Amino acid sequence: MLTQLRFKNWRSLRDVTIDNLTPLTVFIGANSSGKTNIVDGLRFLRECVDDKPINAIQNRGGASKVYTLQNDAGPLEIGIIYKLENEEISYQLGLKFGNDFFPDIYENLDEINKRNWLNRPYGSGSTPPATGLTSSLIVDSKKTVLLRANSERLALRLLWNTSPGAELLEFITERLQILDEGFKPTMSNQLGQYGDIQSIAPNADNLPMVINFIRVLSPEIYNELDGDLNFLMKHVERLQVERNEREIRLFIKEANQPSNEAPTISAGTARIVAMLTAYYALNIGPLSQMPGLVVIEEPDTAMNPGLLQRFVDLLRRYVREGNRQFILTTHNPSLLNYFQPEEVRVVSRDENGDTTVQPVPSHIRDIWLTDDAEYGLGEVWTTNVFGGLPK
Amino acid sequence: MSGRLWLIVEGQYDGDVVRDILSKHPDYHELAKRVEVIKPTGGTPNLSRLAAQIEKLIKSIQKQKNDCIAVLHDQDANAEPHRRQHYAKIEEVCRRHPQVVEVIAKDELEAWLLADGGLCDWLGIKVQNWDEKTKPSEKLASLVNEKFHLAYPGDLSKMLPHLDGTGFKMSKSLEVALAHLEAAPCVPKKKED
Repeated sequence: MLTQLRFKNWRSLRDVTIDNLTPLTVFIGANSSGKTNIVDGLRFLRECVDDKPINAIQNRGGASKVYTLQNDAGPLEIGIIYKLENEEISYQLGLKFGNDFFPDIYENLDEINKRNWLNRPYGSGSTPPATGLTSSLIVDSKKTVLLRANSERLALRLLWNTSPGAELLEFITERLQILDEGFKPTMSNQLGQYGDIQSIAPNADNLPMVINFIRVLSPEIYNELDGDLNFLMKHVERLQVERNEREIRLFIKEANQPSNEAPTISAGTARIVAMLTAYYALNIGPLSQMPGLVVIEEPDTAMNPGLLQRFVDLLRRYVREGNRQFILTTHNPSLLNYFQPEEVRVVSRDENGDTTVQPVPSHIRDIWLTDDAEYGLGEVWTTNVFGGLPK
Repeated sequence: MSGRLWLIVEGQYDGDVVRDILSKHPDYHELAKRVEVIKPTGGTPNLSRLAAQIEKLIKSIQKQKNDCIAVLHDQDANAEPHRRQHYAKIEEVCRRHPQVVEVIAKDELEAWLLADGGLCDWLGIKVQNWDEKTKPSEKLASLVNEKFHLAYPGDLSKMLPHLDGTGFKMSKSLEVALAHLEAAPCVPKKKED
């Protein structure tokens, strides 16, 4: 699982390290505090590792949309620490913006507290790797070289085929499921429509394709998904997928009329289906035993507050069943009531406009969350004693 | 010592009023920047919630080094008996935490708004001291409704820009309140010219 996220010069996150991530972590904060930047930072990292960084930059509207500080602030860096059973690995992607359209790119990979199993830089014209990191891939800025960088990355993966380094890269590219702010699943995909079938899109517009993939590859897992949907929403008797010559479409059958197709699926129901699918998609395919991370922005949007506890209970069950991690963001104190202080990070802006991320102070538990359970953590949040509210 | 001044209030609007009064007057700009508003849990402002939670709020804030605490509440001289018990509880807790600054509006907090020259100009009324008058909140509500079809306190954000921060000249209780806030241990003391 991920134990640390680190951002430097990434939008409002000038220098932020988020340590001690738990299997369930929830970010709270006022509007525009930087929560979405954290989530998009992970997406950006995935896109850079999986494709060319320049595409990830262009997808966001250019360098000024990812690197918002002045050029002398230093490179943009996004790093993670990934914990395996017996070891931790750090990975860092760096983009150095200059006058050229293409940034210089470097990557560092390190087994923390372990042997240096690779300690020479890759790529010609390398600059020294960052302090304390044992290997790096450094290339310069031209497009052709970026293509070569990808091939070198492939070589690295082959070289590290059985190594933790390879697993980390696989984790970033294959094992992150991200649903972004305002995701709105579609209930029908045209056949031939381009889209990932193993991984939910950030806006969930490929939901029917992914569910169909799960159904075809593993009817047992599809049934589990269906069972969890019924656990959350008793009125849903069955989630069904229909594939015909034109499209793949989803519909539900309701408990009170099990023989008929429900005429509509509400936005809230569709979002719940998408969130469960993001989790279950990790359980399909040859990498299913690997750790997986599901990131969901504002999962409680359009969800009845009476469902929140069951929803969090379900996530906790997924985490207990092994190797799964969730990162959520929310504005909802009712959702926060079901979390422990150590699972929460408070996102704010300081006086310079830079994002800060802090844990909930430990004394909050001693003072507010005592055995008499008079208050929930979300209620305490509304007082402003640990921040994360608008000024 | 120099830090944040945590202002414990009954409801968010009370905090907004004090912060705006401070920020409108040049002498209190710096003080306004230090103020962090903190309120009891729950939705609609409620004195009983403040009384029930004030101890926990104070203890939470006391963990922040270099910061200090002020508690703002009205005294409502004409209070119903059940409110008096809440005032008594708040005062008792404040007494047990002598470093906490207690800031009291003589009657209702709205008296401070009606003492403000800028707001009174906007409302087209004469500036007066409302500290001793009954129900300034009702007066303010009827004035903004009659003249501008605004609801009080829901439309407070449309009223606060008209403050000029001069209320302390007319309202003794506001003058005392501001002096208490300035004297809070985490607020740097002004140098005498």
